[in-house]
Amino acid sequence: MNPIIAFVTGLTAGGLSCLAVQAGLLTTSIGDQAKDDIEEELRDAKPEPTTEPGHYERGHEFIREVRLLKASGLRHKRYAQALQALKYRYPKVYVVPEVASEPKKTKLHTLQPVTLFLTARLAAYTALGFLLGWVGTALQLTPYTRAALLIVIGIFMLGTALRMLNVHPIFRHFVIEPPKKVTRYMRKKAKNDGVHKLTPIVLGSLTVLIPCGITQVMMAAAIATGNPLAGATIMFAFILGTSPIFFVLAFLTTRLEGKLQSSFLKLVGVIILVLSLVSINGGLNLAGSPLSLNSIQQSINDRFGSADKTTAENSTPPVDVNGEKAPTQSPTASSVQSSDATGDVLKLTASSASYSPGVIKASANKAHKLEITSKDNGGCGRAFTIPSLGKQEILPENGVTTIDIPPQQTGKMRMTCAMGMYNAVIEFS
Amino acid sequence: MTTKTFKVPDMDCTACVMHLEGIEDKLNGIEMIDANYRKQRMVVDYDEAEVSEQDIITAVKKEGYTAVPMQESED
Repeated sequence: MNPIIAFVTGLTAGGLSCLAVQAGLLTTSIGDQAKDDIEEELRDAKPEPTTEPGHYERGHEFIREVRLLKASGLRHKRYAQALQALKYRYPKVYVVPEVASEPKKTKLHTLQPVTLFLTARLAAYTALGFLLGWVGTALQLTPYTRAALLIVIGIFMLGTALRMLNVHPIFRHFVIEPPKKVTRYMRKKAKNDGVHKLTPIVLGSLTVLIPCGITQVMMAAAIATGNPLAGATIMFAFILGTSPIFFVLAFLTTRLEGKLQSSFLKLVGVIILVLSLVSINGGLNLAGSPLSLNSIQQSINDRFGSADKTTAENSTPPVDVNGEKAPTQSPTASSVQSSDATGDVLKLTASSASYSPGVIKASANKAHKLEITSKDNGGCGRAFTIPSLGKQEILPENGVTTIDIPPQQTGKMRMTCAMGMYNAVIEFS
Repeated sequence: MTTKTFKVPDMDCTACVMHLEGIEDKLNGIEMIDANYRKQRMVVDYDEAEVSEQDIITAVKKEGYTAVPMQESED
């Protein structure tokens, strides 16, 4: 996956999706002690302040005892006696209100913990990306295992998308739930540590344990790179993309409303659905399957191409300078003119957006050299693969790479990037 | 101590599990909440003397969800 795609995904869907999972930890980091008012609402018997500047009250313990007493079922005189005893046990104490002139936290005070939280989160996920990329390397991914991995990841993403779109309860199994012990520990830690300076760093790092759905997808993509640095880059780009929305949250200290969150998840579902299809298609491409979109498109092109050819031959046969009939070409093959179709050197240009030409014609049963010219090739197109030869080559950003192609029988040989996104074909005839 | 199961049909993701289980820190009298996204339900261990079923439903509503008490036979 291209780091830019990872970044944009983080910036859009990822940010809000992660926010839904990790917002609680962030607000704790800020030290925003916005107290939950559930308990307050239930304390209907809270005594009103009587005098200023201070007032008398019996405190929470008394309120709890009264509630217990009410629940005990005692009536009339006995209830009154018990209540009197409680009042005796918890005499009113004079409570001095907080000094009003105490300086209030300004928004700037939230900047430091938020920055610490987000930096720790970024560092932790980048390290995780590195680790996942290394795991991918350890798996010794050949083009075909990578293809299988891409398809499996694609299916997981598809399941995640259908779960988010609430298509069927069965898709609820497509989720990786962090162990209860972990979430409970994190909640307690967030609650007890309060606003300690290290808290944002610890909590920011701990977010790796509760990745949201789309982060899990990115983690899978990091494994699929099979390269620690590429894995780290993807996670870094993605988490960096998610950070602005966390920053906004820190300043607004609001949380997504239930309904809004629900409809937002649907949007994320659609985005993941598209990504899943891209991943599955990438896997199919890498495996050289005729079911991939590119293969289907090419066979359609071939058919239309041959149809065009027939029409061209029937109407105005092109003639070369010697008056002989010039060879006609299909539209797909017309772009091949720059490549050396008859010689030993086949030329391909790899940019960060595509491999061109899409089709190179070459003679069968003859050895060739494939000369790949990289031009500003910064994306995953650098990971050049010829699955049928088991060949993988990391291309430079700019420069020429030569690959020996042994004699091949008549047919097509697919070339693709490691993620199956960019494709080209050599047609041996 | 009472154990009660609630159906929470509007859980969308595992984050909801964390939100719901967080109620145990906010409401006195709750011993433990075990929410399950796949089953769309949560099991609450609570002290009836301190907190009522209605209190729990209110707390869940405040988190943005709907808790519907389940009958034993529904389990």
